[in-house]
Amino acid sequence: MGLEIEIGTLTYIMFGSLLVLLMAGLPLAFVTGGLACVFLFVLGDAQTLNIVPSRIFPLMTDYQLSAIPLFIFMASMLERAGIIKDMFDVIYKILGGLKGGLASATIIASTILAAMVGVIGAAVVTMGIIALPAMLKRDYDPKIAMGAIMAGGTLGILIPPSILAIIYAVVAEQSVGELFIGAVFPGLLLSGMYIIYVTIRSYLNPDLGPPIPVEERISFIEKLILLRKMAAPIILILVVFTTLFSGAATPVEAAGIGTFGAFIVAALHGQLDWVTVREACIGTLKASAMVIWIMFGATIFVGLYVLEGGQAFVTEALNATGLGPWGILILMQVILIILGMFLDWVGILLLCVPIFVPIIKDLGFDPLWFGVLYLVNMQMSFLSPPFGYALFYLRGVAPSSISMGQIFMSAIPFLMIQLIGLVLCMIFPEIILWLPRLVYG
Amino acid sequence: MPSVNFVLPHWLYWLGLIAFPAIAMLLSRRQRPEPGTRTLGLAYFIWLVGGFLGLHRFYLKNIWGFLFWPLFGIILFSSSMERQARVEITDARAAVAGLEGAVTRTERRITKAEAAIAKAQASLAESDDPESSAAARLERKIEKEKAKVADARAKLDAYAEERKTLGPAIEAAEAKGAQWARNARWAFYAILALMAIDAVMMPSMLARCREKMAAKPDESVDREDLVDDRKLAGTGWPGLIDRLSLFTGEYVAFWSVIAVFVYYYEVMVRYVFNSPTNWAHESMFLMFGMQYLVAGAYAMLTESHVRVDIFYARFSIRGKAIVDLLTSVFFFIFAGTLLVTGWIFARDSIAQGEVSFTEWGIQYWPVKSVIALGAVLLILQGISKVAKDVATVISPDGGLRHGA
Repeated sequence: MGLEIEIGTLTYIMFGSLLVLLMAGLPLAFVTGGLACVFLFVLGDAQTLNIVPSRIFPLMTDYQLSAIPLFIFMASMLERAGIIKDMFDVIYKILGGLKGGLASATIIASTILAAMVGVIGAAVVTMGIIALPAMLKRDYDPKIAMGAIMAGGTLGILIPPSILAIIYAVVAEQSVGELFIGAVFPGLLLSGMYIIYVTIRSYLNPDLGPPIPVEERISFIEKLILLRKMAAPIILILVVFTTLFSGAATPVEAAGIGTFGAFIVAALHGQLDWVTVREACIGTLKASAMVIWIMFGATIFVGLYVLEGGQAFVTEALNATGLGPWGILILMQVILIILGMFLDWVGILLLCVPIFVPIIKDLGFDPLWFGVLYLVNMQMSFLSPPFGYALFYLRGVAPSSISMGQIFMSAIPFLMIQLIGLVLCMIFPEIILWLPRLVYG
Repeated sequence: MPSVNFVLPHWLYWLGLIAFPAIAMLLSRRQRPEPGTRTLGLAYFIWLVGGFLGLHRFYLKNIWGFLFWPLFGIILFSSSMERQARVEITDARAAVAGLEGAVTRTERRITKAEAAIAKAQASLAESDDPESSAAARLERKIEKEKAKVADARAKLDAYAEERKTLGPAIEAAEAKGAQWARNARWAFYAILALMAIDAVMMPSMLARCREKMAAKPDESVDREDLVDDRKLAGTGWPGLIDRLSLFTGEYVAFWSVIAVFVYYYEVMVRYVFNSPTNWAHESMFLMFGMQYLVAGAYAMLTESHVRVDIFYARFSIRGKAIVDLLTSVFFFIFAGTLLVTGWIFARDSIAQGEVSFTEWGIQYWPVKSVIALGAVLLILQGISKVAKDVATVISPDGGLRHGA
């Protein structure tokens, strides 16, 4: 129709209608896609709509993106092979003698898991099924137990290989490898702070996380034997990380090797058959379709907004606030946190990053650093009520005696730790940038 | 190491995409083996793809698989040293070429200077007054040119010296490369020999493994519960559409398995045989690209597309159906646009039989056509959902939603 709408008004119309349709429960991919088509037609004409396939096709032929299904496939295969259960079993037997040991074991197991998976659902659900009953049975404080499961499970999206890092890299035109490696220390930092928190709480008040009884503990030799069970997945992680960080192979190839390794691990665990493969394939298909379709819809939507001058509008609006570069950076983080309460991670990335990253570059910040800050920030979106994924994943598997309110409350201390982690990464950029500089020069 | 130059023919690529999922679907419908069982077929398969790492022995709970690791380590290291030697040779050859260029240039300069000297001497001989200022200028010129010649000759000598060292350097690098290639080949044959022995011994290893497992039956393996999406299919004609989405989704889902083996192949030939392919990456990202599009309908049926359900989750079943019907307008706008524009996009490509600009030159038009195909599947799935929603609105308790 070729209507001329002033960009300020257009911003309100576009994001207002987005909000309304989202609240009505239409899936994000179709909300952004549908609205993009409507606005393309309203602002242009029927010809303009031909932008749609020419925006989607580059995503279909994007080399980096194929790392997403591959890493998801690797995780699905390992999950079907029962690795997640084994992992917790082994670590909790090793750490069981410590106060709060089960909670620490949960976090360590989740951290190792995070090095195999790039999404969060599997870790939270499985840990909720095995670690939560184990801890409740031993009179752990449910809040510590659930918080450890949720916070630990969320690390999957930060510690490489993270699906979110791949999408960020594709959208912001950064190197996947550098983002992966930049996220290593922040991930370990958060994981370490969670462990310190549960350990301190449990030592101050042993009722919160009692050690398992002496007769259930096992000897050092037995611990070593148990560790053998974990050998195959640990070797797999080492192989994937070495190929990733030595620069010998691209992230996509590393994902391919990892998936091949996951097949072998499944075979070694006696779980490789066609039904397992089918299950893993379908799980992969659903997870990657969900991610990629949001990309389809959102790139058209945001692409249109940027084309109409949205970029300049947002920049002006931010400059008009009179905040300095740091003020704007902090404001962006606050916006991300607020969005994280309602929207899912892929959606936030695709709606914000294309607009934020050019501003960040103009302000003289390192886009790699901002990328990892964003990943750390998104950790909060999983735990923040009312729409944190981890909360609902855990709700799905927790015993019915536990109320949603309790789950919310248990997330709060860990949310605070994540906030501290984010602030640390902002004040000390070296936490993020030191390792990539060391490896990539 | 022998070099591997297999290029996947286009027909085999497309045939593989069509045939593999069909076979895999048939196989996955068969009776499932007990978890933890070891089979000879799988043992031989692992031997084939991972035998060089002794993985078949680990599969059969045989710790001696570690014997293969140092051998494979030698291959990897030797291959990388050979690659390095090749780089050194190329660098040295480039240096030689640079030197030769410099020699030619210097020789040309000498010829020019000598010509200038000859010319100046001739004019000097012709001049009448050897004491004149013109003659002095000519003599100065001769001196200068002579100095230039001497300088250039010194340079030539230096070049010759340098050239002398480069020859042996190339030979040394070549010898080094050949040595590492020999090492790699030696380790490669050793692994092949070990694998041949294991191929013969496989049945007896399997028997021993089964004995070992029977002796320790407590190592039970649990199995994850199956997620069966097939029960999501409704009844009546919407059910047919659901089954179509389930079928197409499962079909393309199996492509992921192809990717695993293609990337495995790519990494193998690159790092072990030093001969990367020109087709592995392109074939795989195009395959995944097509998979995403076809998967849209499957994800819709299984409710895998994320939605914000702060309010939505609180609606009644009927309320959800009504809201879904209202918002489906935007869904159909998107899917419809995708179909029409996707078809226009693909039509041009089909008309010219478009192929990619890469060395492999795979047909692009089927990939582009999949955009329209994915949109068709999505629209069909949308129609099925509308039918179910309408049925729910009419009679909230019955309806097709919880059909067969």
